[in-house]
Amino acid sequence: MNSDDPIVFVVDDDYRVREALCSLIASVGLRVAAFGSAAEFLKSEKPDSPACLVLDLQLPDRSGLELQRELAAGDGPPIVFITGHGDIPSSVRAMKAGAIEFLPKPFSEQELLRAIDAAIVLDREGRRKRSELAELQKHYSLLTPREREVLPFVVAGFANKQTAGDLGTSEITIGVHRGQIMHKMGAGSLAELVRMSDKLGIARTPGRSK
Amino acid sequence: MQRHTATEFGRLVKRVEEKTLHPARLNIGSRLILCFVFIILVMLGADAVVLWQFQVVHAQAERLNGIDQKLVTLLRVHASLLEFYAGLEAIAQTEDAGLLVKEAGALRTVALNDIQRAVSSFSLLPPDLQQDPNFLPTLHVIQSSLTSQLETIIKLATSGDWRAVQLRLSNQVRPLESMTSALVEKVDHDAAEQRAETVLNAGRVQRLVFVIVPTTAVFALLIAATLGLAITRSITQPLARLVEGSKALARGEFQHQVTIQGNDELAHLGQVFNDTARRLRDLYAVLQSSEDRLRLVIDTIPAYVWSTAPDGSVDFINRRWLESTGLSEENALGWNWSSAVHPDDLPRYVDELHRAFAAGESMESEARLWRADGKYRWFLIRNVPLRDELGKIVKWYGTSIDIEDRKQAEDALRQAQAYLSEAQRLSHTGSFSWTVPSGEIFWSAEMYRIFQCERTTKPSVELAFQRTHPQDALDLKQVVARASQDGEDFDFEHRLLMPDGSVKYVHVVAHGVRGESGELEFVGALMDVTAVKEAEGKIRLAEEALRQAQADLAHVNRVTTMGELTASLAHEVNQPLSAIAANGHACLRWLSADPPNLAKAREAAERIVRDGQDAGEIVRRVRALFRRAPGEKDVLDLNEVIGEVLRLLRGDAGRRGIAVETDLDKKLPSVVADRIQLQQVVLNLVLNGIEAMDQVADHPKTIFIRSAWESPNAAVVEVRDNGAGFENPERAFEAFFTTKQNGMGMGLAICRSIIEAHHGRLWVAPSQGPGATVCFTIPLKSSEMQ
Repeated sequence: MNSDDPIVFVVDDDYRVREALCSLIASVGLRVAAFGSAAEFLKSEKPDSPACLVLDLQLPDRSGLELQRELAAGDGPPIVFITGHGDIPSSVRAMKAGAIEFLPKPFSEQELLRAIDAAIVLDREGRRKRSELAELQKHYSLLTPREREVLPFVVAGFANKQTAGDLGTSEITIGVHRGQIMHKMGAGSLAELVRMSDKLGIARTPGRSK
Repeated sequence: MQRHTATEFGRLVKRVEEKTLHPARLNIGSRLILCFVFIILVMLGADAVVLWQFQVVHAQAERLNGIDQKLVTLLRVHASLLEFYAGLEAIAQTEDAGLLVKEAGALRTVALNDIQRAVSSFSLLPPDLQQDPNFLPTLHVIQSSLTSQLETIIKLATSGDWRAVQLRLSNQVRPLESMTSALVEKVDHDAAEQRAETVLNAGRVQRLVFVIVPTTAVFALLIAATLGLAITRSITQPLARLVEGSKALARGEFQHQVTIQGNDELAHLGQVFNDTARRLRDLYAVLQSSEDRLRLVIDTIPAYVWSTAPDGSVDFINRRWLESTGLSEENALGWNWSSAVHPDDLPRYVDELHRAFAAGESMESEARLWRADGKYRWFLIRNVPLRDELGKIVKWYGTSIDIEDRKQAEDALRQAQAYLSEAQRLSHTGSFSWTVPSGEIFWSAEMYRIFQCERTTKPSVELAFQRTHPQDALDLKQVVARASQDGEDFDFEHRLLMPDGSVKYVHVVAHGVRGESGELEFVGALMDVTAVKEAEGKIRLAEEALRQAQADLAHVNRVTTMGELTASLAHEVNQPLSAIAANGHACLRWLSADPPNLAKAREAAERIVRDGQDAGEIVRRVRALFRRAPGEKDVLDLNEVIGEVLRLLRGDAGRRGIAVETDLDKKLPSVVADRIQLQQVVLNLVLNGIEAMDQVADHPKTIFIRSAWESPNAAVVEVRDNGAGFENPERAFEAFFTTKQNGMGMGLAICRSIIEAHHGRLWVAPSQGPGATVCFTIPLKSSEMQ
């Protein structure tokens, strides 16, 4: 198994359910790791591969929704909720917070496996995007503060002259900055630079400093 | 001479003064006697000197006188010799021998007599005058020669030789004459010498006397004056001190002491004075201390003490009175005491006082007296007269004693009696006493009311029997007969049949006591318990109804609780069912794999079996919980009951994120209780705790169940959560009081009634920190058996 092999994490306090799920997931050829509580899960080493989290809604240490909230802050895997007696408010909250599926027990194996597959696909895509963004951010981090200041003007389509006026410097200096930005960001064209800055979430309208 | 005497006198005075002014060694009497003796001796000495001088002069005169006599004798001898010779010559002239013979004899006799006289007179002279060595021999020569010459002459005359006679006369007789004249001359000379000397002596003596007598007089006077002065001073000084001391004594300065010098009478007097003063001082001190003591006693006895003049004006008042009333002594004396008497009591008291004074008899009265703290207190006031020997009243003595407490006690007693009477009336309890030997009976007012008798009726045992219900009369008589014999207390309940036919239930309690003379007396109470009896019947009915209602309620609660549990139970069953389904699918997949993974499939199949058993167990437990109808008490292990409930709830708690902790005392003996009801209580309490923690987000949720000994006879079960807690712990037990959205508010009320039906208690314990603690006790089997 290489690192791109997906893994399914199962978090359920009931060992019977845990064991059954592990066996079921393993039977379709997926890697599986099971935990009895959210804390155990959070503590564990996770491989850098596409993943899916099958999460019980009620856990002894914290609720599944809480764990979902915590994971959303980082790059947590997509979540498939399972619950003994799911209520509508909880399921709505879970889905709103980005859960792939919300399955009341007992659930059908197809539903579960489908949801797990969907989650893995989603995670794989997410991981790709995240690594791309990370690359961009690496480039962006090379820019000097002045270049970062100039960048929003460039991607907003301002002429060098106007930018120089706004930033209180010469047109030539802005030209040099522009060249450096294009080079450092690895952008082949202005359009590409604009896309990059979109991904980085840089506003196109420069904030006027004065 | 004058100067000599003066210095001598000065020395003497000084010496005398030293002797007398110095510590008087002698008594005054001896001193005075000595003084006078000394003066007399001085005067006697002076007199002796004078007498001696007179004696000297007298001896001189005597001597002069003797010499004169000697001279006279000598002159007489000389004269008789001359006459003898003259006679002889005359005869010789005549030459008559006869005559001569005749006359010669006579002449010779005369001459010899004279000589003899002279000799004898001479021998009478003082010896110092006889010392003339010539005188007597001369006289003896004359005497002897005269006779012989005369005889010779006679012979010559007879012979007629007149010539020889005459010759002889002139030759031989004449020398004799000259001899005597020489003697005379000598004696005369002596006499003249002696006279001169005598005169000289007399003059000396005269001068001496002139000096000695005044000197002696002055000397004696001076000595007398000096001694007198000295003695006077030695007497007057101590006397003055004594007088000073006496004056001091008179002033009351008993500590005054007189300085004492020497040991004479005045010193003794001073000593006696000092002793007297000392004794007086001691006496005064004793007197003072006894007076102080008396004063202290008077001032500290817990009473007011005073004395008044016969007219009633106060002349002494003790300090306690003054302190108590706050009056000053001046303000209290005279008639001002009246300001301390309560205005309402004053006229009556003054009236009583006047009457007592007029009659001259002791009086006793009660009045309120003012106290400095602004309150009046009741006092018992007594006045007693003091009479002199004639029976006249000279003083009145008075005391007053605080009787406020007694007064209050009297009031309280009066009030208590009133209350007692009222209480007897209200409680329908009469009291009585019964002196057995005399049959005398006392009834309180309520007794008459209960027996429905006139107050004028004389109570008796017969009357009591007469009113007793015929069915109870025999029993009562037996009880009374036994009690009157052995004197033991009795407690008896019986019925009275009233004249109007109504029946009263009464409860008699009596206590036997022996009087001083040994007679038996019963003191007791009789209570009309008719109302109580009636009420008891009603209560019994009400209690039964209540029990039924409680049972119904408990049933409702159980059903409700089951409803609440349904979700939990569903989940509890759901878990193994989900696992079974998943395992089944997994098993199928492992089997349908290529190649089939039989080991995995087998594991999955085994898990299906296991989980199936789990699900069955859960169903069994639920059935066990609600299997039997309530109302049957069994011997139960309390911890087992708790364990059953917890097994049922643990999953639910876990899902809600609640940790369940227990601390169960394994050594607890069994309890006797209704299993279902006890489970219901534990279930309710734990469920309440779990629900109370729903909203908790800031700390771990824990429910804690503890069982322990509460006392040797009871176990305690404590259910503690750290949830919202009770806002109002006591209201928690009110029926239909709930903080739950869909609760009935019956849970705790029913739990409490269940526990109380088991003779236990259920309460909300104050809890530290968040959450609530509910405890209940339940008697242990051992105590239940007793």
